[in-house]
Amino acid sequence: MTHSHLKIMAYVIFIVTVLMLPLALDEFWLNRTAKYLIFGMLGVAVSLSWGYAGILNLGQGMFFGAGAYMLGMSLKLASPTSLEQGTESPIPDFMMWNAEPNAVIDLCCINSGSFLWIPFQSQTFGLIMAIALPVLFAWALGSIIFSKGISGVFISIITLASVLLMRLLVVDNQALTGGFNGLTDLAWFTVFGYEFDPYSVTTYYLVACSLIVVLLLTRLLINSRSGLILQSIRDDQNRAKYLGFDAAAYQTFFFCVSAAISGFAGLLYVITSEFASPTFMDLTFSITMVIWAAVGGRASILGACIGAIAISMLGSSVSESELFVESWQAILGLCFVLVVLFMPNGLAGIAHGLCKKFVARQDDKKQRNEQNKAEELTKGGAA
Amino acid sequence: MIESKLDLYIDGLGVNFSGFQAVSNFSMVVAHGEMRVLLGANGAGKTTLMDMICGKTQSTEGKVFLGEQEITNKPPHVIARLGIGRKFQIPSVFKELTVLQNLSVAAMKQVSVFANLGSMKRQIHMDRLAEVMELTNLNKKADHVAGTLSHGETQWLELAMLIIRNPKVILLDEPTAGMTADETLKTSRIMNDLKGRHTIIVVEHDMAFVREIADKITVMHQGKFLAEGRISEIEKNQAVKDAYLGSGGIA
Ligand SMILES: Nc1ncnc2c1ncn2[C@@H]1O[C@H](COP(=O)(O)OP(=O)(O)O)[C@@H](O)[C@H]1O
Ligand SMILES: [Mg+2]
Repeated sequence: MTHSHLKIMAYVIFIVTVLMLPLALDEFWLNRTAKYLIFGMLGVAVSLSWGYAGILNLGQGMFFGAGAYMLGMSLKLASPTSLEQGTESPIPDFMMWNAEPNAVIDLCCINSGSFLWIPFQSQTFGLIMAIALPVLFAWALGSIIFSKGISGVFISIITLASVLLMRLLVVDNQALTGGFNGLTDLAWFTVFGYEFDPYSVTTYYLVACSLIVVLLLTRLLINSRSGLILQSIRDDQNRAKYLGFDAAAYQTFFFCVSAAISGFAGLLYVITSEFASPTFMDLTFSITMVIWAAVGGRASILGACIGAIAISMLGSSVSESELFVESWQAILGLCFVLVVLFMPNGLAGIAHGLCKKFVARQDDKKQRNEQNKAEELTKGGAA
Repeated sequence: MIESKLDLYIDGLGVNFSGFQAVSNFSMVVAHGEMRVLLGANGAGKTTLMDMICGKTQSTEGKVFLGEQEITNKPPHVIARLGIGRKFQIPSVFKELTVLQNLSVAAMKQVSVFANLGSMKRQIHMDRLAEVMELTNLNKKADHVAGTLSHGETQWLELAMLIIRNPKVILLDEPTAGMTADETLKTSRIMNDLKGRHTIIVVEHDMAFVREIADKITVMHQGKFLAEGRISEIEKNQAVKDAYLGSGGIA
């Protein structure tokens, strides 16, 4: 039994558990758990960017939000209310409420930006944009930040400002985005005529399989040569540059991957929760993601994933009890401080340490056994 | 170009740090396979010169050629790819990775993100890795995390990372700084092993070490070229003696 065996075992146990849960849970809990799994996916994204690339992104919510809104727009247009406005093209209800008295009631021109919604009548377009837009954001932001050699806390400040800016833009453009209310009353996600009921086992498996695929692909990516180079850039950007690696290109690429995962999580969240809201871009949400990864272990994607699932699960059950409603955020904050101070590698770090001890003890035992055998042999020989 | 068998050609190189001329009008030609030692008191501009060659500092005058190719002020990773390896005065390695991982990163033939999305095994020659670890006394440390190495071992690891890339030119900034006498001796053995296989420029203060390894010496003084020649010539050179008078000679 080696260390990497134990690691593989951890993955197998996690995957099997996730796949078996529908046997134990009812519809309500399946839907809830699906959401936690989506948060687990966000944990993977944060771990990749923070733990492996050394980029502490305090605005991960902008990618999640972008993904959610992009598919949300398609699902909004497909909803019965939008379809039954008595117009040729579907029109979101909030656009009707906000329309000028003399406006032409059509998606092309009901307000000055509404034409942007036209391609979203295709759900495929919404789906593609849910990944493409976050990646585009990440690429634009990353190319600037990394090629200028900006690092550390400045990246955190820039990403933090970006998510706040995006939230402001979404809230301020009520006629285009639904403003504070976000996008509600959405149609179900539909593939070839099959509708994904958010409370069904099928939707749960859509989310669960997506998470497993993302987890394994990210693992593969980290184990690739590029993944190792990325970690070397995290450790010493200059050393990597003077070995011939374009550090900025690596950082930008993995920043985009992290954004793509977050966007994917966002679109899955819209499918399971039937709404998209500007709260996705709240600062507290982005920071919560970082806490998930810190507690789970930012240097371990499975750790961060489990951290996200466990904390969000705990958080929602705890905040249902009167006692903790107010204090949950504070408790979470305290957890974060304690983890950062006393276990920098989170729960995964502790598990890692235990595994090491276990493996070492086994090796010890083996050695002692062999020694004993050898001694017996020599004794036998002497006699 | 003057000669065909030269690897590095520096022509009137200089830099002005917002008013302070750290290096000025410096020229030097280093032949293929040569081991050149760069001497000079603290602040003479040796590190700055290396910084300009490898693209860390943008020069404000003059040119640098690697063989036939001009490399003046190109981005660091481009210069590195063209075949210049740099070791820093303060040793820099990937602290959270193991020795083997450090060397694997350095050994990668491809440099682009997309070309490197494949698996680790295919591209790295384990034989070469073992050979370099042997040369740099790191063969027992393969699985140690680089952050736990001693100062001397860290210096060797960084050296090994350069060697494994097999660059034409290696720039070494005080490779024995902070080393024990024993480690210095081992380092001079490594250097002598590299001689002839790479073109090497090394900044060094330890004169015993210099005598051990140098072909030719170039002396810098206050950012300028002062003298060049074999070690015996340099020791007799009046200008060098004058420049070092205050500090009691170069030895
Ligand atoms: N980035 C910089 N800005 C301003 N001055 C610098 C910079 N880098 C080096 N110098 C100055 O240039 C001079 C040469 O430094 P350096 O090349 O480190 O000397 P050496 O390596 O020969 O000891 C020193 O006086 C140093 O203070
Ligand atoms: Mg120096």
